[in-house]
Amino acid sequence: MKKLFIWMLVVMFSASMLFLGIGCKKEAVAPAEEEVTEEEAPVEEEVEEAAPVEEEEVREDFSELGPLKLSTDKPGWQDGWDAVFAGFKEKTGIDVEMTGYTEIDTYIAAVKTGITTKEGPDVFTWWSNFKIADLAKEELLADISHLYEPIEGKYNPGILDSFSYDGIVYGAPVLIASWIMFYNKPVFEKYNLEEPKTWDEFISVCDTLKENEVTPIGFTIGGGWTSFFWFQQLLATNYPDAYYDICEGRKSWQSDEVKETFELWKNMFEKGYFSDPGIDLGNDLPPMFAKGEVGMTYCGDWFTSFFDAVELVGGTDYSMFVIPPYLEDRPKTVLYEAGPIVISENAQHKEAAEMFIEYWLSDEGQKIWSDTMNFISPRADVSAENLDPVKQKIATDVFGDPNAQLIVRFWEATLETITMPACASFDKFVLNPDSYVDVMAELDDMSSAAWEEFEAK
Amino acid sequence: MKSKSFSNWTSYLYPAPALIMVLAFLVAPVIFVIFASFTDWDLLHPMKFVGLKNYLRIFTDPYLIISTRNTLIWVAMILLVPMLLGLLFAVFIKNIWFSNRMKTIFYIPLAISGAGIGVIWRWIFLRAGFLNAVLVSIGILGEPISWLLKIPENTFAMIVASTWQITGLNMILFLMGLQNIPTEVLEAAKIDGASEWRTFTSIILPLLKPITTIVVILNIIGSFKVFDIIWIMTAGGPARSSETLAVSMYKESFGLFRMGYGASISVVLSLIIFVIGIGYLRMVGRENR
Repeated sequence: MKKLFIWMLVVMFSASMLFLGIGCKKEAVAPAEEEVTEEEAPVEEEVEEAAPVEEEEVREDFSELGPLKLSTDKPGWQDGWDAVFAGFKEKTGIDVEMTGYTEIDTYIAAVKTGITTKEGPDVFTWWSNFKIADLAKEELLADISHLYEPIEGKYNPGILDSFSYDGIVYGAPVLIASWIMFYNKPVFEKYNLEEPKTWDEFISVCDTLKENEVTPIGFTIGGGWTSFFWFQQLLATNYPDAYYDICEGRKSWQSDEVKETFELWKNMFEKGYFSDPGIDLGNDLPPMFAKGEVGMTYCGDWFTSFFDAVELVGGTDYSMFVIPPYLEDRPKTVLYEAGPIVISENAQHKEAAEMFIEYWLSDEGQKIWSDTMNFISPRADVSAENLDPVKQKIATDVFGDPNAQLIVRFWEATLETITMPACASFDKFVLNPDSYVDVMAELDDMSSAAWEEFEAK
Repeated sequence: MKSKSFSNWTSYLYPAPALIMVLAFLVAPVIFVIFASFTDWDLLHPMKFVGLKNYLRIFTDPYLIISTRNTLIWVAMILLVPMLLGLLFAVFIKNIWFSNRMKTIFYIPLAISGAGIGVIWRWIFLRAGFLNAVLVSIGILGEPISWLLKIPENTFAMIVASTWQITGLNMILFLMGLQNIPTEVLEAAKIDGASEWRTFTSIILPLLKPITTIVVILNIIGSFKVFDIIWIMTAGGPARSSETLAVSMYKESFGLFRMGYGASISVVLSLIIFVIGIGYLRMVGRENR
């Protein structure tokens, strides 16, 4: 009897574990299914609406090649993703399952561990230059150079260089953002200010704002990563070669160009051009700018989404200009960041992934993304006419100006192990601008050690 | 005989699920972290054994020295302020008629997550925040101060936030201790003419020793592993000036992807907590004997 009871217990335990296992599997699958259903609901509506037009075209169904797994650190761009996924599904029948991460560190860790296996994402958003090189060097990214061949000339080769390693292109552009100065239009009108064309005019704008008790430039070191903004702007626009040499470990951080940059930046601090650096980039700066407490702020053009949040209208409430270089003989120079979407070499649905990137690069894919997100498309033949006036101005003044020199943002232009520690050193300078000589020495030591570590791998 | 051995075998099945969980999710990760701490693991490249390099680096890394200093400040301040406040509040509210409501009020912050506490107190300490608004409006400050950018004020600001959260727990624990003190002893002291202060120092405090031990251990462990409040309020900045060992461990591991180095920091942190915890418990045990 006792034996029977024990056996019954064992059987019940096994059965419960089995159920638990099945339950877990079901649970693991369920959210993905729900996510797809949710995401695809509007798609189906759109497909239905579009059906009469599309009926004439014979479409092949590649749905068995999917579902495509996409990971991104930009889940906030849901409208754009949904629109592109809808267009892609309409074209190929392939579903896209998106996993979004709001915490960047977690995202990087999840991607880096995932893509070494087939369990990772098929396609994922990443960063350009050294960040893409890190993965390409380890053969974790798929070569997509052939996808650019039929559309040669449609994309700026300089931008494609940002997504390349060893002559092979690995990424398609998700975001191309220029780093420009936003200004409050009513404030500029109130004090009869115009967009500066030279450094002296820029300083004169700052002085006028200061005299009228408006903080000329909103600036922060609050989040721990923003202190590089002005260093990159001042160094790269005046000494682009030195900037790249320093970022790529060929030149010392104690060089004359860096010293001059710090001295110029220090001078701007001493004149009181910058806001209190303790403010928060996303929460404090946009309302201060909206209220006219701050006249200008320098950031990537994605910052317009923060202006949207405080209901500022591009072209009416604010506009932009390219900060003129300090040295007179320098051409118009603009820092830019390029965010790619890439395919994992170990992708489980590689064929679907290639089809997705092909669609992404197409005229149709770019137009959907650009119009939904109000982003400037890097594809030359995609019109900017549906974008807001500020974005149209950026498209003309920056990406459309053949004389403008584009330079990669510091974040992507150097090693991952340099960017964050460098920001800590820039923080020190911001808190005590007189410490710049020590800061330069610290940056030099840190950079040398990081390059040594990089080359040892 | 056969039946007995079968019974012995089956008896292992009962703790097996729990044991498997502990092995898979506690023991295995611990062993892996110890192993990783001797490598240069960065998630991308194959692990390479680097001996004691990571451990030696801890003692020469200037940011780790600052982190260690900050961690010690946290431990000292958390042992001092919320513990004393908790004891003080417990003694004062024990016999008042609305003590239950007071208990609830003091306990509410503990129901908020560390991240939530960080968000609330960050808003208080921001330059454009509540504290500056009050201090400037009543004339104590001429102009606002960036509390979270000033060193070491930022660390103390975060300790205030943490104190607000954990004082309630300490108070509840001390209240439990106070309620366990036999009333006869207190009455005897009263009859003998002992003053309130004398009763507190000579009777109440010694009898609170068991609960004090628990409070001290909880506070030490809590202050060594504090992360969420710091991450939300300053992210360890500016210039990594407000990091503690737990924050540095996270930054090195998931910010710079020096997993091996991060693992070595976590091993050292665990060892410090272990040694201090065991040392303190032994000391208390000896005193009790």
